[in-house]
Amino acid sequence: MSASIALPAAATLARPRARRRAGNLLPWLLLSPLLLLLAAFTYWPLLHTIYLSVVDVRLFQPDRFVGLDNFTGLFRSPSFAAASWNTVIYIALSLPLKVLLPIPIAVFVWCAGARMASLHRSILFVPTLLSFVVVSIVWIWMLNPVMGMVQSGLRPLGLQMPALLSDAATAIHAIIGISAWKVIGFNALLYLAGLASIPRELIESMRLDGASDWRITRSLLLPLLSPTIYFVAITSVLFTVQQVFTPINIMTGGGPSNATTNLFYLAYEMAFESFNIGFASATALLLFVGLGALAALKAWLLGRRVHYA
Amino acid sequence: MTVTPITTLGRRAALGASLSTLALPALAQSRTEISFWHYQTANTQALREVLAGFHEAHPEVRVTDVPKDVGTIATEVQAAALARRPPDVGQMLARLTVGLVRNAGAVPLDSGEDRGAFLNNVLPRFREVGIVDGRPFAVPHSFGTPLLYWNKAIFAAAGLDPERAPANWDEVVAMGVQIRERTGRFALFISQGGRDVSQQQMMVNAGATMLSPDLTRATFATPGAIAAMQLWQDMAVTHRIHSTLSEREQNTLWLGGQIGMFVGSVASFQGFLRDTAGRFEFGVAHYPLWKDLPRRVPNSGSALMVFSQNAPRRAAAFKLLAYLMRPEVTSRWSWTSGYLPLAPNPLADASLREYLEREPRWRIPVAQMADTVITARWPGNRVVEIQIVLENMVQALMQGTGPASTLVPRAEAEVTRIIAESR
Repeated sequence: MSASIALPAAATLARPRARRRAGNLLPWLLLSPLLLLLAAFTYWPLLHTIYLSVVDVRLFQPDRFVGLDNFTGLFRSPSFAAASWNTVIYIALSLPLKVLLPIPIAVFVWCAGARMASLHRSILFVPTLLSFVVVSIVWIWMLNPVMGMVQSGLRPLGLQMPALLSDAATAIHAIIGISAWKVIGFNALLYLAGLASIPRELIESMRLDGASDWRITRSLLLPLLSPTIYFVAITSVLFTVQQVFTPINIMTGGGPSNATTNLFYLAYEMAFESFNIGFASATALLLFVGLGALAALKAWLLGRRVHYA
Repeated sequence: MTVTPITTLGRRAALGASLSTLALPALAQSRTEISFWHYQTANTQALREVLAGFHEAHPEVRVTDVPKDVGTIATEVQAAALARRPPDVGQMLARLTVGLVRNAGAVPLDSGEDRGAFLNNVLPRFREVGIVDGRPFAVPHSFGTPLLYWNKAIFAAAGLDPERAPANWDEVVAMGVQIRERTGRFALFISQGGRDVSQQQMMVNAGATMLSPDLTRATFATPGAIAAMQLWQDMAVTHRIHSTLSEREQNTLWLGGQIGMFVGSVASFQGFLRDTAGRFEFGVAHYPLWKDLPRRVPNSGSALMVFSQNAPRRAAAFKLLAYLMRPEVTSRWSWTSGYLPLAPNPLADASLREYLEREPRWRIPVAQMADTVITARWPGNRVVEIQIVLENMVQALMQGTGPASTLVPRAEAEVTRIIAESR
């Protein structure tokens, strides 16, 4: 009898606990496909890259631990020095073009109002839709100093188009300009989305108080747009290094004289053209650490100035 | 029950069909399948015709050809070897053979049943490129040599004889200056495709040797090579006859009929025939001589290597190589693909003689086979870095950032350092 009483009591206690346990597992179950993918394609390759950067991979032989030899060898390479410096240049010169320039464009489109808004947005978005390989090839033709479209426009004026892509002093700037052109429209659309959340009544009330356009921009629009600026700045830093890979590969091959290579392209050359896995992994790891530090620094600097409405 | 002849025939046919279906798997089982990785993407059809001939001659072997990118095929082969799944036969850039022997487990070609007898079908000076530590590990296949192509219309417009090409570099400069002054066009474009090929050709033609015999250090900074590189810089900076545009831009300009002379591989010949048709007529000349030295031009192109680690497949791979090295096959491959014929006496082949009747310009590369020397085979696993050093050396010369007397020895020291540090 006592057993018959005890059983329902245990069952009433066990059921919510089991349900609670099942409830706790459910989120993990739902997340598991994503977690598995992340583990397989992000974290495991990252860990394996760390391993590969400190070993010498040999055919038919076990990997040999070489400590920091791959890193020291890399530091002695002139290609690495050039690629590191160029990486800094790419980031530093791209930021104003990709982060700041889209702001006035977005404000202009926003002020233009709903009329033609779709057309403006479509025009802004077109470069983003184009394949970067196609864009790179088209720009090669356009910038050709003998037969290019730009030269055709300059010729009647008696001007000569400089050989931008084969001059070590200008090639990197040409690539920065083209890669910025590709994303300016997209970033402007992000700013437009940010601007759309700003109530127009606030502007009208500032106008009634006699505020100038500059005052409205500085004191209202930019502070309320700061979360979007923060997002665009972070993503631009992170994506610039890898985004310019395509134009480097298609337009200059890293030259002339290493003038356009960067760490991302160098890692590719080491890994997939030279099969120097140790150096390539060391380069990738340094790039990962460098970009991580830069992103953290920017997050810290900009995060303090971001105003969330 | 009487069996009519028709029924008997039907039963026999059915029996035959059943037997044949039984036999098909048996044939498939006895057939060895091998893979052949190559980068002949522009000549895939011609290559497949050659392979069709092989399948006819050797029904017991089935070759699956896999087109790859020329820039990454060596890496892919090494990665596949590391994963224990290498291709059975790979078409590799000849200058990478030493590294591939050490890093991809290539098999000596004289380890087959016929002890590499098919190698005798290849010109001895061509065979050198595959010898590593005294044994043959690679056999030339799509082999090139540099030539001078010229645009006859631009020559005529500049007041030059459109049928006469420059024979040496001094004439290249003189004619180039005349083209620039009379037509305002670029006179010359030395193709730098392959990164380290064109400078090597110019320096070796000027008497240099790229590597020490033991492959441990670079040796190209000789007075002759420095003078040749200085001439290259002078042509770009002082005489302004050499286009300083990027490789891709220059190719476009040459095909558009905007450049007077093009120095590049014989491998471009068939493409030029197609791409310049109806636009301009081009001539083909030997690689220009340097001063009074005999012509010495490093060959470029690829060699075939065997990576099979399985005995039956390796035997099948050797059969394929033996077929591909038959003189009649190499001759046909030559004029269909645009690469050099490989046989010691290529003119013994009737099909090649017929082609020369139709296309006399092809006599130039065939004759230049006698002037070729082995290309530098960079050792170790840092070949691309060596190539970048040599590429940057030329680009620095073209940008005028320093004289050849500074840039060439600096590049030599850098290449030696990389070789010493690589494995």
